[in-house]
Amino acid sequence: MSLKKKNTIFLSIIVTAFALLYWAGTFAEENPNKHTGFGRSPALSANGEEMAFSYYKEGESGLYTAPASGGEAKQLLPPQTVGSYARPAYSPDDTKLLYIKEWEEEEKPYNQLMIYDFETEQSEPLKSPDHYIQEAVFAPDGKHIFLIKAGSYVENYYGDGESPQDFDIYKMNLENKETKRITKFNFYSLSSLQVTDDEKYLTYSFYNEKDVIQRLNLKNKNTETISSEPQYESDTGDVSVVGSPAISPDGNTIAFSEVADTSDIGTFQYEVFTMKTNGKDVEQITNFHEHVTEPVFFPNGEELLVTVDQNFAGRQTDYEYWKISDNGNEQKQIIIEIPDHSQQE
Amino acid sequence: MNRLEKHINQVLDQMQSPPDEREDIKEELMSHLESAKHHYMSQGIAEEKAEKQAIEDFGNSDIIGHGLQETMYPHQRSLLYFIGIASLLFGALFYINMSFVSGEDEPIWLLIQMIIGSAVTLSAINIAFMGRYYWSLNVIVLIAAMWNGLNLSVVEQTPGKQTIVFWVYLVIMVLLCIFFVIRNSYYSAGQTPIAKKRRTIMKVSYTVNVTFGIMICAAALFFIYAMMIFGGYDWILLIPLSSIIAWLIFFKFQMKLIQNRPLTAIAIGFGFLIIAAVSPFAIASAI
Repeated sequence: MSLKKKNTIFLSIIVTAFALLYWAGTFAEENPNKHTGFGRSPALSANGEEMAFSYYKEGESGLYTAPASGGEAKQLLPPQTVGSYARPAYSPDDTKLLYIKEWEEEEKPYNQLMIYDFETEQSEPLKSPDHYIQEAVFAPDGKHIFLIKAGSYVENYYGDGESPQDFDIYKMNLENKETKRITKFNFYSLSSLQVTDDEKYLTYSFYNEKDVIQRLNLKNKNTETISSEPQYESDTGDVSVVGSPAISPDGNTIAFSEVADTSDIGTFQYEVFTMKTNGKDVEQITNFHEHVTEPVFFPNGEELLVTVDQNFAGRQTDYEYWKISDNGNEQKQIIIEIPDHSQQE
Repeated sequence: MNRLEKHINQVLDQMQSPPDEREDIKEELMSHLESAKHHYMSQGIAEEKAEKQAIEDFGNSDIIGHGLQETMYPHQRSLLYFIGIASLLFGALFYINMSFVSGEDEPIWLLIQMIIGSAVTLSAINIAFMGRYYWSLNVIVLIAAMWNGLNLSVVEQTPGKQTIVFWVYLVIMVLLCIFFVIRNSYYSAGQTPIAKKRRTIMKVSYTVNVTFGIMICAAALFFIYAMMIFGGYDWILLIPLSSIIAWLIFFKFQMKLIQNRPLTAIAIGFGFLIIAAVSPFAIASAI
């Protein structure tokens, strides 16, 4: 065989192989966006009888409610083609629901604050899409809300889009929509905002070289860092990965997720812990050996709703909701049936 | 070109000999074929038939060429084929792994991997042409070594136990590339007989100089990788990159110097290593 022929055959094989691999790769690319399953941050109603959550069907998420003990879900908002609904939060009288509408346009993420009225079954925006709202919760009076908002956007390192930054806490009057900034943190990240029933404290977490939980006294504006007692040693050594803190209704106990163990293949296993706000009495209350996060206290303060990812570090999340007692002795999965709206339409 | 010459050229297509050596081999094989042809003609066979008979006796040009190549440059072409095809195979397997396990398909990465694998394999196919340019061939294989070295950091970030297999695969490939470059540099000194002791010194000098080069390239690649993690694409990446390019150009002259003064070349190579290690910091501090 001549050299020319050998070269031609070789190059033809390479070009064909590249085209085939590229074509095969496009099939894989579509899958990650087609997530089907529960969203990550469910909310409990003020009376503790109902929960609100997002549910993804082939990558599109709708907003649903269901009995907190499990059962058939009710669709509040149907799935959208672009974007998703996240971080629902009930009003104290359970008549309204705050949520975040998330989407991305030209490599720029948008988080718009919305409110849903259970009586009229209508949604309306509380802020224009220009305001990036990380999350929002009702104040105990039901007339105000506290929200985490980004002050600006910054271009990503690799120039492949923008990210929100300079996060701070704001208070909004729902009647006149007037918004007042109440902190001047300019944090790189800020989340898990919660307000105590007496509206004395706001709790939140942020990242500043390590995960930090703080509470802000709304009267004297003093901040106080809540850290676990020194004798408690995290499995990650010096690195603190305390996440998604939640405060109990009486304001005395904090539930949080933290690395408890490492799996056989080196993946951190997160469990939910509780501690007093002075950092004492740290207690591990779950033992799933999975990724357990987003604890939410029931109004009685004795039970918690947690989210368990059965496929942590995998390609697709597989969230389940569980109800657990605050001493960890009882745990029960909340089984929710999602109505099939595609058949009704 | 007559039939005999064409046959000899087909034999030489399988060999990486430089022009002088090629001419000598051609002359020797031609005289062999010519005498065989004359032998048949003296037996009353027509010229055309005598040529065909001589060629038939001589044997298949590909087999003879491969045989001569392996005798004079043992395993060099096979190594090139191995590195090239292994790079292509890695590209295909790891791309499938990235797409279906990590959920990230990187067609640009695949394209670069395929181009590098193809360049090495094409060099093996066209050894008669590429084999003459020892330095260029070294550059192609060193680029393959550096790229596959960088791939180690990509492989480390993917989940699953198959990562270990990919990692070992890459390490073997990088070592084979280095092995090839040392041998190829040694063969560039030609096949002329030199005292055994001097040949050994030359081998040592090539090995030491290539090792210095690997140290410079590895350090530069590490800095490029670290800079890309913390700062993304930036003009400052050109500083470590220029160290690699400078060494590659420097090695072109070193390859000649080692043939004549192998010990001096070690000293000069070491001097270059020191300069390459110091200058990026000097440039950075001057800026």
